[in-house]
Amino acid sequence: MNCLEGPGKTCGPLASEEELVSACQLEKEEENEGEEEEEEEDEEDLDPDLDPDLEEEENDLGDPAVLGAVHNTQRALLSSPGVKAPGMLGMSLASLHFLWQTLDYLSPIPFWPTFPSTSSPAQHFGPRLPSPDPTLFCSLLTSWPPRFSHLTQLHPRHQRILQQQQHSQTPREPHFLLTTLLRKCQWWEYYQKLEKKQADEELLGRRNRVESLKLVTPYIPKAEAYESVVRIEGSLGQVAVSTCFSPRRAIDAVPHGTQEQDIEAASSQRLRVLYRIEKMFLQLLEIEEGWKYRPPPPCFSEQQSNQVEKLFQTLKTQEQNNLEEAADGFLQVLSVRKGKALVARLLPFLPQDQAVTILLAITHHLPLLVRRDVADQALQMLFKPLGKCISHLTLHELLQGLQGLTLLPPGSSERPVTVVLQNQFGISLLYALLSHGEQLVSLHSSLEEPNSDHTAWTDMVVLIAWEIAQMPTASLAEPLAFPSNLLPLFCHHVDKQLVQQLEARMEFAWIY
Amino acid sequence: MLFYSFFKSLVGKDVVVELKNDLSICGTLHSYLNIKLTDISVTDPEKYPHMLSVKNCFIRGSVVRYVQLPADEVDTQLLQDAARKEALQQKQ
Repeated sequence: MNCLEGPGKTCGPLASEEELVSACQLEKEEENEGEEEEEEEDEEDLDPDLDPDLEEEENDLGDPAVLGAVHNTQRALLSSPGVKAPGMLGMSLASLHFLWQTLDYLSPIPFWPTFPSTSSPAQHFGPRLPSPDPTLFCSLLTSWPPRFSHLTQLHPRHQRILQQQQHSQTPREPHFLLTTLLRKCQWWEYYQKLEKKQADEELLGRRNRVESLKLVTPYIPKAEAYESVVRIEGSLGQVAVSTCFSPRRAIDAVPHGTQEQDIEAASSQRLRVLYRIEKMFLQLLEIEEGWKYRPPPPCFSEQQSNQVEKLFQTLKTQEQNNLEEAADGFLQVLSVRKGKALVARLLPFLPQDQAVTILLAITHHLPLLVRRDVADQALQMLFKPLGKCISHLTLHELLQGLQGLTLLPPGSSERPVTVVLQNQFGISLLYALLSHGEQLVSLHSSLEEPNSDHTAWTDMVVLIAWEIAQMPTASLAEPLAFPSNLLPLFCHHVDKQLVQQLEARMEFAWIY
Repeated sequence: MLFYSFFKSLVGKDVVVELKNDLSICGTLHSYLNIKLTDISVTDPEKYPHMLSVKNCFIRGSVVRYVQLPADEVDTQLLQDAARKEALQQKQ
């Protein structure tokens, strides 16, 4: 085949196409000259079956003047002996045949050529102008007969023609060849002009939108079987399955899946918690509104303090009578992202002792909270407000809070602190608490003689250090903040070998 | 009212509008409720090649299913608070 020879820009079929195009242009100018009378007889030569088809394609291309020219060109080329086209026709009929085959592959798609991966054709055609066609034709060599995607919709007549061709690989009607070829040349030429114009505009800087970043929104893949329409066998129409009230799933706001008895109870429980949180949020908004134009807390008016107290009581007791249930309710609030946001925004308004209560409650139930936060990863928002509370802790309170983490639960060989160490918020909170403890101890060490608190503190530090050293570096989470007095603290209480292990882990986790 | 003011802050930003017929169109928001987009592109051009040459479009509001917004253009906390206040006002 001609097109496979050499790397030259214009190979056989392409050259003939270009010549044809220029011939078309020539003929356009001569359109008005009275050549039509001579060509009437040629119409009978054309396949009568295809004539209506030509007119239909005309509508697709949309430029009747152009197509009128094409018709005339075709007739002119076939009839007038003086034009060079017939000679050219004879020369490369085989290559034209090949060209037509490849073009026909593209014909189902109204725009030609198309490259499925482009979002805006203008961008790609410009730089590819030098030699698009040879590669296109060569790559299409292997794809005959054409394989259309199931989405390709062909005009029934066109489909029929293609099927006929597929079944009978007979020599094509040369007139039909030329007709379609010319039509496609015309279109290609028009398209090239359009692209050139757009490329010029780009150069002039008018179309700078192309360079600007496009919105990249995650397109949620339709992982579940999503058929938006259902087609019943033998019916004429389609039935829409997705409705206004149950469209395709886009976000994970509501858990989907099979509804079982206990899951229904859990979801109704969740709804109740969310409802409670919303009521508390309204109270919080009132507080924030009152505080907006005043100096920051603790300069509160009495009304504001009352509001804060009321909200805190709601949060603490959860409108439950039982203490246990109240604590449970508080944890449920903290298990939801909205609840964490509520507590994080409330903490700056709370008086010191109440804030400390919340901090200790969180520290005590840290493993549970960490486990429930795996999906959301929203505990981080609590770190900053809690960090401010930590500085108000006494050593005794600190030890109380941390005790739960270091005790071995019955029937398990793992301390709760291991779960905490693997979570970013957990490890950050732990480090902050240890750092504060170290500050307290170093401050008071000269003043007091060692008491039970100090020994408990030392034991705690040693235990936690050991746990950190035991953990593989990969599972150790990266803390949000790394206090500077932590390593000296460990050096103080722990032997050298362990310190080295700790250094390796903590520094690695920190830098990484 | 929140709806209007929210969309007003989004004019000029890139959004992706998903229609009820599953077509997703990405473009710059020009006007809202009935959505006008400029410089559009279709998210899945293979399936909807007939939009390849369209630059601007007008979408009737009732056929919109989702409007996907750029995450960094929206302050979620502010929006949530405003929605709560609006809900409270409507209830009263």
